[in-house]
Amino acid sequence: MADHFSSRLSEYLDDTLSPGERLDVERHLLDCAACRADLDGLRRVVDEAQGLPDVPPSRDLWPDVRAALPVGARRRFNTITLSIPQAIAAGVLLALVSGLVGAMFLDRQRRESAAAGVARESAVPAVVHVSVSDANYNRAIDDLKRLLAEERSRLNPKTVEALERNLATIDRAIAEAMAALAQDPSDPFLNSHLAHQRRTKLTLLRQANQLARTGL
Amino acid sequence: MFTFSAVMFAAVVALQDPAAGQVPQDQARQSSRPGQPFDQTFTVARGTRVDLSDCLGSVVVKTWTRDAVQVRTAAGHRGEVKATLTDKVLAVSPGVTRWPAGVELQLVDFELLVPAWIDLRIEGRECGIEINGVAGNVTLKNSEGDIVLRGMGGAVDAYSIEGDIEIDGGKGRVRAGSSDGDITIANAAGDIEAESIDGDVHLNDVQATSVMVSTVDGDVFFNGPLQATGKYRFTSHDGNIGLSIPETSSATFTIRRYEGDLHVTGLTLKAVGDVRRGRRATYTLGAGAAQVEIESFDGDVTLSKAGARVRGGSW
Amino acid sequence: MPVLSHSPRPAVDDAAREHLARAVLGDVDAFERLYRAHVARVHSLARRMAGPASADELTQDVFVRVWQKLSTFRGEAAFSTWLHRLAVNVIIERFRSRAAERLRFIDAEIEDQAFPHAVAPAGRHTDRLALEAALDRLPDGARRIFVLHDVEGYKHDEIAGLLGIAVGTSKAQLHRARMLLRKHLG
Repeated sequence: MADHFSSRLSEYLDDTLSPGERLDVERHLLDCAACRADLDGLRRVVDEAQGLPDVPPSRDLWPDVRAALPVGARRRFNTITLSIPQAIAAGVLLALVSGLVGAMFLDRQRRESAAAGVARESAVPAVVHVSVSDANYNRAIDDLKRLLAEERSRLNPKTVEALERNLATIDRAIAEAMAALAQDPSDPFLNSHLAHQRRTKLTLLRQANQLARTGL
Repeated sequence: MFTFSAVMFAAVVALQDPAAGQVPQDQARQSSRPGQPFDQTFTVARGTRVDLSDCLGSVVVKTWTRDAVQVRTAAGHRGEVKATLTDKVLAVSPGVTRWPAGVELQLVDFELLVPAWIDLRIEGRECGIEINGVAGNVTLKNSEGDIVLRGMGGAVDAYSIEGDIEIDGGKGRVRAGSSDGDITIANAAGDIEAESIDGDVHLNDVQATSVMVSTVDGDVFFNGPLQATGKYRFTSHDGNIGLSIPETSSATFTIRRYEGDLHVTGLTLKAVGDVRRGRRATYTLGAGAAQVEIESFDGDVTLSKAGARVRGGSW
Repeated sequence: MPVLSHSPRPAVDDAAREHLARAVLGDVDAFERLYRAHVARVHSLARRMAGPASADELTQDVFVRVWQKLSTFRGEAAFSTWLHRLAVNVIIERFRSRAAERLRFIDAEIEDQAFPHAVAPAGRHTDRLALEAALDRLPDGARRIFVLHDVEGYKHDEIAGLLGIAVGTSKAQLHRARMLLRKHLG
């Protein structure tokens, strides 16, 4: 029995179990201290993994890269001959730079390059795979809130008010659960309750984004 | 004789051939002029789905025995109603533009007559939806407007930001979500998942053997029998959770509370294990057959004998 | 404060896009800017997937491929996402091209020998160093799946497609990798 549940802990952590399976695991966690400890350990591993920094190579590889670029590539911007595909691609990109095209990019990147300062572009959210670990969840929430803010004008003002009210309700619930958890971090009820409230917030934002974006 | 047989053969083939049910070319795409009523009937093959998008107004769906879909709107709206049948999808839209800030748009009220087997997908902003007797799968989404479903036979997915959702009778699985509105499900036999943030959830006389209800601030009311093989889960952060069940029910209750109170009225519960340890307590009623999990952070939990139904107000 | 408020797009977006546009047109200096912006991430990916010895060479291969394929970037995804996907493909192609190295995904018990001595945790920075070191000691298959899923954010069906394995195998290997790393982190 314990092995059966232990092997599902990763899927539980990643929130990929069906509601019934999740319920089974949560029931088991109430009685199994070993599995609770395993889950905490797994959560820690995932959190650490998601926080791993990008480290540049110990030596500058650019000279080797440049030397390996195909012959004929060494041109400057103002002396250029384009192939047709290059011209099309350049046209698309220049249009984007000039802001003529209001394209939305699908951004599946999980971690930004802090050193480069490349900001995440506005994106239409596909179904975002979110685990209950903090880093991924917070990023998903921020993305969805930002996208919803951009599409705010498409929704009825009354609907926007209702959404803000609902989000405030959930945020209060999350804050209360977190405060309780701070007093008793290992309480399985509080842990699963907090995870549930977070999922609820994520679901609300996803639904609201879908409604705003389909032109409703 | 040969000619007669050939004609009869051709007629038989035509009757059996799915292609014989294809929509004639002149019915494949229909649209109305702005302000004019729309009334078109499309012959549809089994497996067809009706997609009504950008609904702004209301939709009433009823069934008939024909393998056809009739789409009607009243006169007087500004949109140009469009209906296009391609392959197995009848796409219908009111032709109104998207919501521009500060502009009042006229509403379009649809009436649909459909075969019971049809699948439906209806999405809209301010869109009241009423569906009666559809046995196919139904997916509904709106920002505002009540959703009322009666006698449904297939799977139901209904989501609204502000509207109330009312489902009466149903055989298929139900997933209902409303952020601000109330959800009421009665006499349903399929699995139920209901979720609300600020609205209440009422389940009355459901025969479902899998029930999951969750609210953040809204109350949860369950009235009626528990199925012996049923698995139930009721969760709320701040809302009260109340079950009103027959005295002869057989159930095991696992109740987790953080700060709310537990009230028991008219039921003889037997505590299992130490009810004071931690925040989880287990009780059995009768033989303990149905599995009921109740979880509340700050709301009260009330288990009472049936006959003392409470709708709204305090427990 | 209402949560649904507008926020201005950062100006750095436009600069990055301009480098990209110029690089497509053949400007090597602009391509160097893109290289500088993304090399840390690509090198880290290569190191974690293939080991420190191959990371430099793989990084070089990735950027040469990026240069070659720049004209095919259509803007349907963020450039960083597109580049990253390309990097993963280049790295996995390298695995396949080595006849002696095949991905093995078997339910072996060898993992228990990978971490004979658990290391007690001593703070977040040390944990991350410990995790990087522990990654190198994972069996190849489990490590690559862990990197793709937990570090890079791919889903199991994507990983299965990339590596030519079943989704169930990807899930099992991920769990195994996590449990091993957990043992190492203490």
